[in-house]
Amino acid sequence: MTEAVLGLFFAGFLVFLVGVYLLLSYRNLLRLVLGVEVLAKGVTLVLLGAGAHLGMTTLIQSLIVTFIIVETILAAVMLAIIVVCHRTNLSLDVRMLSRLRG
Amino acid sequence: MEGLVGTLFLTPLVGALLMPWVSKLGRRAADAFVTLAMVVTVVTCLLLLPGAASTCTFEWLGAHVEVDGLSLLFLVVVNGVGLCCAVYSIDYIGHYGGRAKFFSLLLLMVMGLNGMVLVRDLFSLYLFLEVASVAAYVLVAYNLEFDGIEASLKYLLLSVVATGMVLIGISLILATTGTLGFAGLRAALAGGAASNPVLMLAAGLFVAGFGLKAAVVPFHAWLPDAHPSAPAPISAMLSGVVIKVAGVYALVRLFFGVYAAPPHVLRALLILGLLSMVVGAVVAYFQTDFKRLLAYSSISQIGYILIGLGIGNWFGIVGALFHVLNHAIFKSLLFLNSGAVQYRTGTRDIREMGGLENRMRVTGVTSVFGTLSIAGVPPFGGFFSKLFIILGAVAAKQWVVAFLTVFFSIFTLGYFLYLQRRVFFGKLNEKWNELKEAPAAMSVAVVVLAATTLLVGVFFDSVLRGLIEPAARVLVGGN
Amino acid sequence: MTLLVGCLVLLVVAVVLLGLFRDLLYSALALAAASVLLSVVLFQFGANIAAVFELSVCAGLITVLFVSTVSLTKDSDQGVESRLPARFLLPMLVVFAAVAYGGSHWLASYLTAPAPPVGAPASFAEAFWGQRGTDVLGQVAIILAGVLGVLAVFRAKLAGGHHD
Repeated sequence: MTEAVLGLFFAGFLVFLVGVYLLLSYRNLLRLVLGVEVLAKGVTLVLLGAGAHLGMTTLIQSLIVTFIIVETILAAVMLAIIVVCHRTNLSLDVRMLSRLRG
Repeated sequence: MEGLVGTLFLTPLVGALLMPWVSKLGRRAADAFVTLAMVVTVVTCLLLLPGAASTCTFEWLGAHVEVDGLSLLFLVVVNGVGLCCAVYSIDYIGHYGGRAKFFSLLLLMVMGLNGMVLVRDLFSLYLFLEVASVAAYVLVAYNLEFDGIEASLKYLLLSVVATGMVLIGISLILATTGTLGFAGLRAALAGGAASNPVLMLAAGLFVAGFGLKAAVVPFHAWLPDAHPSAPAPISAMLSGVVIKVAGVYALVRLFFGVYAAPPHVLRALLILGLLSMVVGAVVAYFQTDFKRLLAYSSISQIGYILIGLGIGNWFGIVGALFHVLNHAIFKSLLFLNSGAVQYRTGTRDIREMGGLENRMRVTGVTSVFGTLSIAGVPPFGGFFSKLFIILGAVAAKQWVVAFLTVFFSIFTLGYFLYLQRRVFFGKLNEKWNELKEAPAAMSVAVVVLAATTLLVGVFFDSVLRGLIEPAARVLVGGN
Repeated sequence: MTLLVGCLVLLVVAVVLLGLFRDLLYSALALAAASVLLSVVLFQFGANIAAVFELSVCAGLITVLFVSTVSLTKDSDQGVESRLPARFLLPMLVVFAAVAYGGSHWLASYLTAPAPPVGAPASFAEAFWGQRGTDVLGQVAIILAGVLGVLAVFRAKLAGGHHD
């Protein structure tokens, strides 16, 4: 594995973990969208790392394009649900989630 | 044959695309159109049944999909339950509004699940999982009330973490083997999978990721919120179909079809299965919310399926796959009935009900069918699948597993009889004197499901030979 | 190589700042910056089209959507937000970096030099339309699901309305 690929994997794992942390720790629903996006950046880096390791950038490119579309759709749907949530109860505090028992 | 496979893949997509225009012709047109689309896919599945033992591919515009015995079993489950839920929705969805959008999203969910079952590529599997999931997130929040929205967001967040792990697993597999197609992967992993730690890490990520989608116990937190909050036909789809295809099918296809069943993965599945069976059943016992009780019992039943797979011998696998079929039928039946009760009474609290059978005869009687099947009483379908799982455990000399499976089967019978007694039997709660039976379309859907669960049990031999064994042979004979 | 290292370091910095900023708009800008840096990284590995997508869709579209949502919902009670997660982010970052460092080196020790790819597509078009044609259909489906989903969420709420 070349140094460049190693760097991609390192950065990808790190960004992914930060994304998971942001998702699991924050209280504001809008911050959770940011967490999802951060996690997606990490996944993109890891995917790119795999492609670069194999020297298959044309293939991995089409996977990354697909993944970008998926993450955008997810973000759009999530933001729409958040706007409706705001209309319903005027709070974006995740702790409201605890009304639902796990 | 190729055309049939293509029909399965494209009908729900085209249907979802056309639905907004068709609905301009009026309410009835939309109802008829969604029914038609689902009938087309169900008939296609039935036409494919005689060729269950062979594989059949379809290529179009660079798309490549394939049907084999395993795919066919899951296709029958997805489209059959999908049809019943679509028919049920015709009368149910009125008070939610947005009929055309609801039907479109339902069709897209079916399209995503069909896609997952048909593709032969790891990344496409992920993509179609997301198609089904995006439709599911919106459908869970469809009542636009607080509980639905929150449950949907919780489901979405946990799913994002799960699919993130799956994608990292996919990247690791790709970097190791240089391919994503199942056939290529099987060749590349032949023999070497268990000894390569990177591939085993990927396997662990898949267990966690797809396990979360299947709501296996340590990863189940989203399910008891998402399933009760969703509209009843969506609860039925989620519990009956989505957790099976998105979770169980993906795990089965990967670990038996690609990984050639490495022993420590099987052991992990067995332990997760036992945990789910026990925790799901015990927590279900304490619920007072009708749909929440059913949701926890789904976790418990998914446990049975994983136990069968984890045992890994012929009986275990046949039992697990048979239980996929049976659970899809009786759990969607029970969820649809809980929806009918909620539709008429406006509550999900078991304590407020009682004697509803006097007023809702169809709902009450079909619920008895569902209860007996889930509890494993002969001659209903659920009896035979549980019997096979127990036989598998005995054949593998896993006495503790066999004992626990039998014990929790009786336990399940116990809490479902309690449910039945509190909701449908006994003295009619005076509050519900004016109660009427559920509307016609809703009754038709549950009667079909109730009849199916009985027929599957009575003709279990033909079902096994025609549907389950070809699927099991893909897993056991295929590697 | 130095450009790559610089981009990756800045990307991590942007993501961490995103977690630390108190103001949501600054966080959104940090995310946009991370997207721009990621697109430069993609460009350096020859993934030009993916880089363009990352730049226009992630850095552009998502930021616009996000900022609109922030302004649509700004009258909500966001003042209760706890500062604890942000304070823990930096210590946790050390742990995450150690895990990522260990993980990537562990991976490097097991990943062998790749075999020359057989039948690798020559161009993006061939890979996208030819080899990944199934994914194109999946993308159509997910875009449709997204559009219908957003419409469904924003529909007029009660039954008997003019939407039926």
